[in-house]
Amino acid sequence: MQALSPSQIAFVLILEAVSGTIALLVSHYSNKAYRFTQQKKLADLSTGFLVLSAGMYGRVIGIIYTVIFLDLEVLGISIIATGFMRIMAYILFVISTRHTVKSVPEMVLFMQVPLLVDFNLELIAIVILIIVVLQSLMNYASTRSRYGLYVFIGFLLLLLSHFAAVMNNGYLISQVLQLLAFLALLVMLYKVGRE
Amino acid sequence: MSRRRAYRSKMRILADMMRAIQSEGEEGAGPTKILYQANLSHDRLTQYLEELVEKELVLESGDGESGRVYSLTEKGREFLREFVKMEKFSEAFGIEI
Repeated sequence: MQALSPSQIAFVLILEAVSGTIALLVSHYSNKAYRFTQQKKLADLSTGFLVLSAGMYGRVIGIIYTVIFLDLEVLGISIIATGFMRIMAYILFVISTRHTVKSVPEMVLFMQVPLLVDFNLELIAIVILIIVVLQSLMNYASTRSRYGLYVFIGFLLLLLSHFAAVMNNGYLISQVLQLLAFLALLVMLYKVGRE
Repeated sequence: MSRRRAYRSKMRILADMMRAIQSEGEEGAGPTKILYQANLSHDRLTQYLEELVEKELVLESGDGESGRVYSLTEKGREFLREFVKMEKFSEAFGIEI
């Protein structure tokens, strides 16, 4: 069982918050594109990233709250809520890109990873993300667009982050992979903006 | 590999027309050129050209039926730039606009 020290928890929170912010940016740009083109799939994509971002912020808030108030119930609720929100977001990606213990004082010092990961929800997320990744791969194969490549890399890294999350000692790696996934999307946004 | 496009949204038709106009540079493009390059029927062409002029995206100049020339306004060029960004973004996710 992997245990996280306070500095590692802080690291995880920062990575999660940065990823959530990038997801929010992608959601904003998708919404802008929707308003411009009236293509409903862009609205679904925007909602997907918004839900994903909300889930990430929810988890950050849940962990902070738990660390401060030592309330494991809130942590449990936020982790399950995040898991469901991710699944909802990934389902929206599949649709839109179709062609996604009571008081434990020592937890302030060491937070057990199983508290941060719901394995059943992770497995469901993996199955849905495999579809999203395959769709983005097919899209890249047919368009050969470098922007499509960034999206494929982003979704692939997101999938790998879920695999890492369910592996022993893989939680920190999963957070880094998740951040890299959103950075790939951020690079894509930046390059599109410079077109 | 080119993808077969069974349906073009109105937004894409307008963008295709504006691309046809832009490809002719500062001199502007005549209706026939736009009709062929944007692959439109005459009725559709007339309807959409009126709309583009009305929205001040395209400027109509010249006189007489055969002498009409269309060029992009600054607003039109900005619209086209924005469309290209949205198109690249959407295509990256496999969404056609």
